[in-house]
Order: sequence, then C-alpha cells, then structure tokens
Amino acid sequence: MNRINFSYIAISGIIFLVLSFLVFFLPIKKKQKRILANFFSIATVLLFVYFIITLWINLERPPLRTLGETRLWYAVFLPIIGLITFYRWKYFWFLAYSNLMTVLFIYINLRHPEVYNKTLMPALQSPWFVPHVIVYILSYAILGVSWIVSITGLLKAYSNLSGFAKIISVILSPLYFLIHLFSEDDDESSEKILKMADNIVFIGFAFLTLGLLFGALWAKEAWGHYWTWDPKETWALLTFLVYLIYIHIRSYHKEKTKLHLWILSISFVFLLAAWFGVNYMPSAKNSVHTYSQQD
Amino acid sequence: MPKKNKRKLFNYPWKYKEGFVISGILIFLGLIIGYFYKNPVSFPSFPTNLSIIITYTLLLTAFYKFENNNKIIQWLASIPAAITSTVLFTILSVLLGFISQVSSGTINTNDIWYRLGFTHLTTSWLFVFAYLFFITSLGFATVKLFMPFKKKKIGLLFSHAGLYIIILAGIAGSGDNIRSYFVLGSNQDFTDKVKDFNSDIYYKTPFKLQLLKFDIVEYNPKVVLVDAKTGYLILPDNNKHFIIDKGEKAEFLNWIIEIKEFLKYSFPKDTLSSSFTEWNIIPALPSAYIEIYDKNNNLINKDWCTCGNFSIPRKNIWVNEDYYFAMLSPEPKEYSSDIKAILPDGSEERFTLKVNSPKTISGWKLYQTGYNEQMGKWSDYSVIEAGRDPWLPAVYTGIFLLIFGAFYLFWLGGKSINGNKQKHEK
Repeated sequence: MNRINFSYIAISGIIFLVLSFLVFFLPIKKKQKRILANFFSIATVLLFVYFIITLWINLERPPLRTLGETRLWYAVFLPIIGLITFYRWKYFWFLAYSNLMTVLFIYINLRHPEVYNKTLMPALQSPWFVPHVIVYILSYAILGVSWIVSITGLLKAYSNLSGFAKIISVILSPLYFLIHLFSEDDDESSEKILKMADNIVFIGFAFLTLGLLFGALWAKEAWGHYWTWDPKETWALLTFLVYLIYIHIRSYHKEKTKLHLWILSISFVFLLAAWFGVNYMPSAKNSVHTYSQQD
Repeated sequence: MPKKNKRKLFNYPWKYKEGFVISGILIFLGLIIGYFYKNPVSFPSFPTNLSIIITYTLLLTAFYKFENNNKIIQWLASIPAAITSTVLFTILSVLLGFISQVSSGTINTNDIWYRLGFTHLTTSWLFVFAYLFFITSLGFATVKLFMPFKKKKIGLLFSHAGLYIIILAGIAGSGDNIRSYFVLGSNQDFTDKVKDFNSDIYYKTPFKLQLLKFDIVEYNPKVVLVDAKTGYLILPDNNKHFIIDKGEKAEFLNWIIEIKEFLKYSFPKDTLSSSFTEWNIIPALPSAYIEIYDKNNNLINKDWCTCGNFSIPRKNIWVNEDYYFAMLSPEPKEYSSDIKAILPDGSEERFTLKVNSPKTISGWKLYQTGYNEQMGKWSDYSVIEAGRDPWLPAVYTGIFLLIFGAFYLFWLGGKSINGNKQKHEK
C-alpha cells in the first residue's frame, strides 16, 4: 500500500463527503436528501475501513501508531458518530458537520502523507494496544464534536450582542450559517444546544475514562507501574479533570449556559494538548509516548 | 440561582469563593512547609499507611453521619467543593505538564525551586495538600451517595468510590511499592540483589535468579540514502521505509537499488569487508550485496555493505560524491531472557521473560526491561525489573469500579446528571 493508492482513496472519500453535503442544496424532498446524505457517508466509512484493513495487513501491525495513522481512524469514526447521532437524536446538521471535519482530516493526510513504517517496538506489542488507542480515538472524535456544538452554542448566545462579540460572530458566521442551514428546528436556543452536548460529552467522557484506565492496566504489564506521571499521562489526566469539572458545573448550575459553553470549548484545548501538543513540550523529552525515530 | 450575591466570605452556605480561598491557603501552606521542612515527601509504609487510610475513611463516614448539620461538612460534600478541589488539582497538574521534572539526587537541594517543590511536584507538599482537599471532597461525596443508598445512583456511586479507592490505594501503596532491577550477566551465578530505581539502595529478593540465555528477534535492517553534506536521511520515493530482503528493489531520488544478497547474520571474510559469509555466533551482523542503477538502467556501483556493530565497522555504499546508501542497525522485534529461579522453598523454576509479558513469583513481578544496547543481539547482560506492589489489588478494584461507572455514563448520556441535580440547589 503506497501513497498513490491512498490518494485515490482519499480523493474518493472527499468527493463522497462533499456530495453528502451538497445534496442539501438540491431541489428535492427532505427525505430524499437524507437518504442520499446517508448513502454517501456510509460509502466513505466503508472505503476507509477497506483502506485501514489493507494497510493493517500490509504493515503487519495495527495502523495506530503515528499521528497520520490515527487521523485515518478519525476519518472512519467521525462519519459513524455523525450517523449514529443522527439516528439517535435526529440532529441533522450534525452529520453534515462531522463529514466536513472528516474532509479536513483526509485533506491533512493527503497533504502530509505519513511515513508508513513496518517495525513496531516491543513495548507496543501488546493486546492492550488496540483497545487503548481505539477507545481514545473514539473519545477524541466525540469530544471534538462536542467542541463544535459548544462553538455553535456560543455563537447563538452572543448573536444578539454588539461590539467585539458581534465582530467575532460575523467572522465565524459561515459556521453559524451552516448550522442554520441544516438545522431542523429554526429556533434552537443555546440551552437546547447544550442539552445535545450533554449526551455527546458524557459518551465521550466515558470513553476518555476507559482509555485512561486501559492505559494504566497496560502500563502495569509493560512498564512495571500503572501510573508514572509520564507527560502524556499527565496531560491525559488533565483532559479528564477539565471534563470532570465541566460535568460537575453543568449538573450543578443548569442555567448558566454561557459559562458551560465557554468551559466546554476551552476543555477541548486540553484535549488537543494531550493529543499532540505534549510532543512539543519540554517536559516530554523522556516520555514513553513519543515514538519518533532516533536514528 | 438564589440572589445571595452580597453574602460575605465564609458566611454560610459556603460556595466557590471559600473553595478558592481555601485552595489559596493550601498552596501557601504547601510552599511554606516545603521550604522549611523536608523534601520530597514520602508516604509511610505498612502498617501505618493502612491504618491512616482506614481511619481517614471512617472519620469521613462518621462526620458525615453524625455531624450532617455541620455547614462545613455539607459544603465539603457539595459540588462547589468538588469543583474547587478539582481546579486546584488541575492547576498543579498543568504545572506538572509544563515543568520538566528531575529525579532526586541530580539536583542541588538548596535550590529554591527544589525547596518549594516545583522540580518534583508529585512528591511535593503542594501535591500533598491538593490531594488532601481533593480526597476529602471526593470522600464526602462518595459517602453522601451511600447515605441514603438509591439504586438509581449506583453508577455515580461506583465512579466516585472507584476514583476514591484508586487515589487512596495509590498513595498508600507508594509507601510499600518497590521498583528495582536485576542486572543479570550472561555468565553469572544466581543472585538475589536488586537495585532501587531511584536511589542507591539495594534490596534482597526472597528468590534468586540466573540468566540462562538472552535473545533478540530483530527486524531486517532498513536502508536509507544519505545526503553526505547535510547528513539527512532520505527515504524511498514512496515514503515507506525500505526494509532489506533478498531480491527487493526501491527507488531513491534518481537511483534504484536492488538487494542481490542479504545475510541476516554474517561475518566479513577480510578486514576490508569486501565480502561476507554466513556466521551465527558473536559478533555476527547483517550484511547485503547491493547494486545501484540509474533511471536508464546503467549500473552505477555494486558492493557489500553493513550497518556495523560494536566489533565490526560500518560500511556504506557510495553513489557519487554527494550521496551514499547506508544500512541502519536492525531494530528489535522482541527480546527475551531465559531465566532460572530458585524459590524460597528451594524449588527451581524456569521461565522466559519478554517485554509485555511479565511473570509473578513470590509476590514480585518480573519484567524484561533492557539489555546492553551497544552489543544488541550479543548483549552480555539482561536488565530485569523486579517490582512489588501489595496494594495493586486495591487499585484494580477501584479501576474496575470506575470502568463500570464509565459504562453507566455511556449508557445514560446526559440523563446521568438529571437525577441528582435538585438536591444541591437548596
């Protein structure tokens, strides 16, 4: 499996996703739009599942090691989450959104093709590898979506304001416009948006907790201790803590909508720091989680 | 929200302001005590640690049961206390996330940052107080979920209790936890001497170990093109690492290389390494006979090359003055030690240790951790980590409770918080 092969897959994926998006502008019935959008999303998922399986066989190891490889899984899970969320809660714009995010990830992979490396260091050869990483990727994908929801909510909450907030919201208005476009209910208040975020955050947080705990169980088998304050562990814990704070504030003050939206959107920064920011931090120089080659 | 915004600090009912003031006081105390008292902090060992955590848990329960009209205890069991204590813990963890930590023994103990605890945060007084606030709030919240017990709250109860047990058992366990290692030489007699990870202390294990055989299974080595001026490594045009094998070909910039012969373990026939022969004892190493062609299929160069090791020099194959092909040292796929152990009762046992598959004997867990990396496959010793953590079952109990709690969250989604909301509001 080489790069040329990937670019075919990636471009087909992007075309499918863009199509799933464009059907909304067609002069056809809502029901037909949905069927078409679902069809294209499922096609993308199948395409990438196929690609990952061939890559897995080809590399003789699960493609879960590098950032580029995890982006690949992201491209599978985002449309799946979009579809599930759509079926479960009927948030239609959500599917369009997650598909748009997927396009972004595929595009990044297309522009910066990862160096696919066959060798896998002994510490990573463990039955814990796949569950630990998949659970984390799922969690990141879901919480990523909750971030989008929080931004949407913030725009709603500040849409009546003037001054600086207005300018920001104008800058971000394409986003706002899109949400309106795909929104079933024209009058979604930010409180309603937050209720939607609740389900997403709780599910994402559950996966985040599982990832952290699976990591601890694995670490005991591989490195001799379940918790060593490795920088990646510290940042994973921080992500866990900020979402923990969010959940508690959310359950205690139901009405402080804006505060919740702010905390939820800031939490995502911690997640990003844990995901890749940690590789660039001075504290990470001895981390067991940086797998860069040292030849 | 009740309209009590004019409430003075420390007038009941306490909310966030008090929480942050308390956090501030704790940080101040942590810095002061750290500066004037000893660093780093360690938790006492068995049985003191066990009695401390049991007493602590009983105290929390008793206070909550018999003093449940006490405003401070109500506050400690409330969400504002949970939030402020988590915020304090988060702030310290952010510091930990940014500041590079040093191991003890490598730093001047009069250094101000050391004395304040910033160089070893997890064993500093700052963390002690943050833990204390966090665990107190979490403990009261757990007890509150128990009394009165409702089936509906079982998920919340499990996640709170799980986290409480993990943290408490983890801290208590740090007092009894031993992390140490054996260095087993290849021709060495049985030994029971292990060295501590972080200090120069040696322990005696109740069993003795001897290394029978150390072995590495290696991947075939990679070949890269090297820019001689800059030293940059260039990968094949498809950006995939080129792993050597007989008959394999790859394109690099304007050249194609073909592996005519590959010997995984070999030895040079002469001192110039002008050719190699198969060989399977120390210090054998990989070698390959490589042909380089340009895009028009003209042969540019052909020769043997090798990655070299501790005894035989590296040999590259040049394309022109600016570029050469180099074989990289093979990467380990797995490494393992065949070990013979004499157990406390005098019986013998043989087993193999590999990375990711530890072995427990006499309450100690043994891990394959390292070897002489300079010598690679022919390493003359094997490093075996020996750890003892009698508190592990307690930590695992907490972990599994928390896993259960996570599934509960997943199942209910946003509904998990709707059940317990009203109570806090009053």
